[in-house]
Amino acid sequence: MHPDSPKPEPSTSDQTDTDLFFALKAGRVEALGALYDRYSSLVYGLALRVLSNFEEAEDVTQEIFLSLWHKDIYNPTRGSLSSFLVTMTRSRSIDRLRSRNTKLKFLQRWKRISTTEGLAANPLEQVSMDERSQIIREALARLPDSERQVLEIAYFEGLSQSEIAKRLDTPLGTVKTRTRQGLLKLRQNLRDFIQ
Amino acid sequence: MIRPSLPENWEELIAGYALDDLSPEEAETVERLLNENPDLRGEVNQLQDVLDLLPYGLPQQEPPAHLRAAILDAAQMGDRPARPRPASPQNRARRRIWLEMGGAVAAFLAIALGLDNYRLRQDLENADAVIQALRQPETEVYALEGTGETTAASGRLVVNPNQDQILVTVQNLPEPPAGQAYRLWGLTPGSTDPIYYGQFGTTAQGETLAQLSIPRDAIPTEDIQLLITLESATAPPVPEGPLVMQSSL
Repeated sequence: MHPDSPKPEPSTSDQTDTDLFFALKAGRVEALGALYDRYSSLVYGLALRVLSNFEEAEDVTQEIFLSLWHKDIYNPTRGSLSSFLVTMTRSRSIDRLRSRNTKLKFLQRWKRISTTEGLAANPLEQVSMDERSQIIREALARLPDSERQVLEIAYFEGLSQSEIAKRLDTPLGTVKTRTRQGLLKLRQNLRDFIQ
Repeated sequence: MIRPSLPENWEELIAGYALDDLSPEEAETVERLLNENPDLRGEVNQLQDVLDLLPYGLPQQEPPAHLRAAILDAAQMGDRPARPRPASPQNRARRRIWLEMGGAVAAFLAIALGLDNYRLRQDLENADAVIQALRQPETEVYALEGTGETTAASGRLVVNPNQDQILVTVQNLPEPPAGQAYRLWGLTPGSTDPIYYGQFGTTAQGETLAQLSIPRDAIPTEDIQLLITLESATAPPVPEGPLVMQSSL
């Protein structure tokens, strides 16, 4: 920290994501630290789930937080920071994992990053990370196992439906139906928490 | 909001769209549905938001304790957060070195750009335009890194904001198949329409030094995400092929 840094702000743990983000953009490294404390387990856990490799998950986590610091890639008016971090982490992790699909469809993912309206006004954004996790886990637990399984493979591993069908030795049509039904049911299970 | 014109399985189709698992025929149907019923886009967004909640269901995983300090140190050692700004004194110093090296500038440039190939260095010595560009204090150099199957690729983009030419150097990017070329795109924050900068090939050694002419109002800046895809060399400038490189974070 420079000796001429402005006087300390109030405790960073009380500040909103947006406050912290603007403090970060003003060059305050402690704001980056506070955002890291808030979201590193989400980012790291997701990267680890996709990559199944501790070292690479660390690399992705570092890339994501440093990109917040170095690059102008997040716009708070377009959605919540947490959903931005999730989208970005998944995209980066799957890019690293990628070797089976030739079509990256990266633009769709970038499009998603740049157009997401996010869940900023949703009840889920108002509760702690622990509560969020609990709500999602309960909603997932209410899905049939077969639907949850394909949904998770599709999301976390970026596999195509036919790749999933091959891996699970299940007809393609069944995989598609299960994934789509799983997603629709998950939304239904979460209806009180999303708009 | 549900209209009688919607097919019975419209929800499943929308879910498939959010999941990106539609067959070409289904995709066509959904595109039509979305055009006819723009409010369905809200459904798509909501389902995508639901998908992006899946990570919260993962078991709690704390990153190793050393990572926090590593990230904060890296942030402090690098420069300040991204924002429109004039060239930093450090960059100016670096460029001054180039200027003072006179005739040796090309060789130095080759090293600075990460090239390690004699022939390319020879090419560079002839690339007067490049050297001229680099003599301008405004010149910026952006790093490019390989993704996916082309992780080994690396490169640089040399941009002078006052010129409508940019220079791309690439290493370890396989020669494109016949009829195909690499295309460079820029994506500004918040935009969904990539800017097309131009296309280039690489040698059998996986290298290139390409000069691309670009519109003055589309000169890459620090905020732009640079993307390189493999495309048909004659296709319209719409990215459809796989991503092979992007600007480093």
